[in-house]
Amino acid sequence: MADSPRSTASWRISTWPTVAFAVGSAAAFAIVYLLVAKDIRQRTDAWLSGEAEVLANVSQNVPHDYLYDRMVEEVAELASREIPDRPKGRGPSRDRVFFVLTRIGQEPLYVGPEPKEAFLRALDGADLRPGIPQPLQVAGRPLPFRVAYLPRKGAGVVYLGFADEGAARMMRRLTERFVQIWFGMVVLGFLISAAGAYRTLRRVERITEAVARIGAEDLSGRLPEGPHRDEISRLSRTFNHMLERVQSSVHQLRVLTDSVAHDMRSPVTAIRGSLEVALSDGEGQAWREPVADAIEKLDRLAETLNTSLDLAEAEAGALRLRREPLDLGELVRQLIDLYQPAMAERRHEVICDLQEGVVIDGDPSLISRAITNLLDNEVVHLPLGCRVSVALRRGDGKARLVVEDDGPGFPAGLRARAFERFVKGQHSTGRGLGLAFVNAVVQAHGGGVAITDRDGAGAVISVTVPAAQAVPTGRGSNDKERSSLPHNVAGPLPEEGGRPPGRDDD
Amino acid sequence: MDLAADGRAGEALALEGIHDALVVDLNLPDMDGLDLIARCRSQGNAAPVLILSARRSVDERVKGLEHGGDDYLTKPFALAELLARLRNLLRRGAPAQAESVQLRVADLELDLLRREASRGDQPLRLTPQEFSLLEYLCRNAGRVVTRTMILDHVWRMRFDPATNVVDVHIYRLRSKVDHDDRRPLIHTIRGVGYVLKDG
Repeated sequence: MADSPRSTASWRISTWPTVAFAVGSAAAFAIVYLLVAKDIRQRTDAWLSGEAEVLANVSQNVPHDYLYDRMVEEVAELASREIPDRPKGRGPSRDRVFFVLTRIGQEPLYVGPEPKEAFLRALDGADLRPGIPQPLQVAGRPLPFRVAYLPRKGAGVVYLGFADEGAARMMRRLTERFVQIWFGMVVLGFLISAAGAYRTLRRVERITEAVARIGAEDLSGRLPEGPHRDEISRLSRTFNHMLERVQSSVHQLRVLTDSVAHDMRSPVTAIRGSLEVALSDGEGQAWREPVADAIEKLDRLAETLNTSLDLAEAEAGALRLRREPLDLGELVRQLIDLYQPAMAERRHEVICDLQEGVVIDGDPSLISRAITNLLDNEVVHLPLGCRVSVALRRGDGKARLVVEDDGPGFPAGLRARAFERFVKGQHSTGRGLGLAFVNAVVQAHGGGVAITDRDGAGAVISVTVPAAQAVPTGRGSNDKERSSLPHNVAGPLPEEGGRPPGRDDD
Repeated sequence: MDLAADGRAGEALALEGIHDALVVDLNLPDMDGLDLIARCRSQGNAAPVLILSARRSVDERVKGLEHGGDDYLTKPFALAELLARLRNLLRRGAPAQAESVQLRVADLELDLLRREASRGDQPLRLTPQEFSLLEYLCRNAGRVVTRTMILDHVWRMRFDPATNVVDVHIYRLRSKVDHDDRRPLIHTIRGVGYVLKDG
């Protein structure tokens, strides 16, 4: 992990809650402490005031004989035994209570702990008022005394002082306990929270390490997804998913570049050959043929490149669809019109069964290219004189286009991989891109392509695309009387023979 | 025609203001072709611009047309197509010619209203598609049209099918127009396309 623990996220994650907890609990304790202390002081003060009253009465009512001092001292002694929350069996309470009775013209009467002078001096210097007992600090005593001050009419003053050591000790013990427990809780809380955060972040750290390794080595590595179903597992899963896509893209790219390079080599060689022939036989009209040949090969090459790029784009999910309501029946009809002569030339019978008003929300250019690819397939791969049927139906909110033929069907082993790029039949002259492109386009539209074989009696390619809710627009209404469907053409050709037509030189 | 090897030279040439149309390659050695078009436009050159580019996605094309281009042609292209497109651009600026209802090439006659064709005095029995194809060839009589152009104008399709669908259409049309011992009108220019001409 990181070099210092303070730079880790788990440190930061646990620090702030711990600080908040420590401050909050200390504040709560302080409030409780103040309330308890106030309550104790009030009880002490009530006792002091009452006792001072009693002692003042006694000192006034007792006859002033030689026993006066003894009497008052005795009463004060008794009073000091009644002090509140006196610790049991803890020595005489005399050193916590003092009583002073000042008399005019006489020494003050003092009952309490020694040295008596310290107390008298403290009382002299204090600015005490009658009524509520007030604090008094006496030199040499650890605790301040609460002192009740009661002037007698024309006969001096009564002071009664009390240092509540029991309460002070209790409060001190309370504070000590609190600090111990509080400290323990804060430390424990911090450790638990830090450990939890560390454990969690450790998994993140493992992801980081794994990703670094994957980035440095190969893309086949995957992150452990773990037994949990929490955020971090989701992160791992998402990451694995992304890796999957990256790896497949890279793989596709590799396949693409390999096969493009491979596919280009032979046409480039052939073109070079044609041009060389043109150069060396460059007399009269003899050069025309090889040059035209070279141009045709170049066209084919450019086409392959274009289709490869389109396909790469489509498979990488980078296709930008320009969707619009598209009357699929209309489009298919136009394309079949275009293909009719080519089919007829190969003596295929084309049977159309197109439902009206099947509208999808699609990219017209891509969809027509996909359909064109399907028709190209039929033209190229079927032996002469087959029956091709094209059916369009709408159902379950989907448009379904089925292209079916009674040819030999897909070669065994090819059907499962038909959508892969550059997969083509052994004797196919195609480039193996057609069906892969169809598949990519249809998937980009949220549909699917299925290939079924009729046991050697033909192939069925079925394309399903979500149908649009919109009503059919008048798009491409230039067909007028052009198509008289269903077509049923087995065209008698003017010239029988396999030669491609229209290739005579000018 | 003047040729500039880079954007700066092109800008200087365009500022002379003597050219009827500009052909701009987007991939210039010293600047972006779109910038060049923007500069020419901002300096008052209103000549139509044909963009040439190897970038062929729809987005790129739209971008080019939105940034002052009047037409867009992707590489590789046939020279015949470039010429046809330039002619279109130049025609666009000129006042529209009265739309004729008849086309005539040698002894071939097309009645565009009734959509009927005849050669000599013999009426030709053409399907609507064949008529559209013949009409397109006649409108471009004497000029070579490529398969791509035919697909675009007759079928409104902007791509090339892998198969020879256009060739078959031409073949069928030719069998009706040029049959018997008549002088052939529809000629194949191998490697390029077709041309309709007398002789």
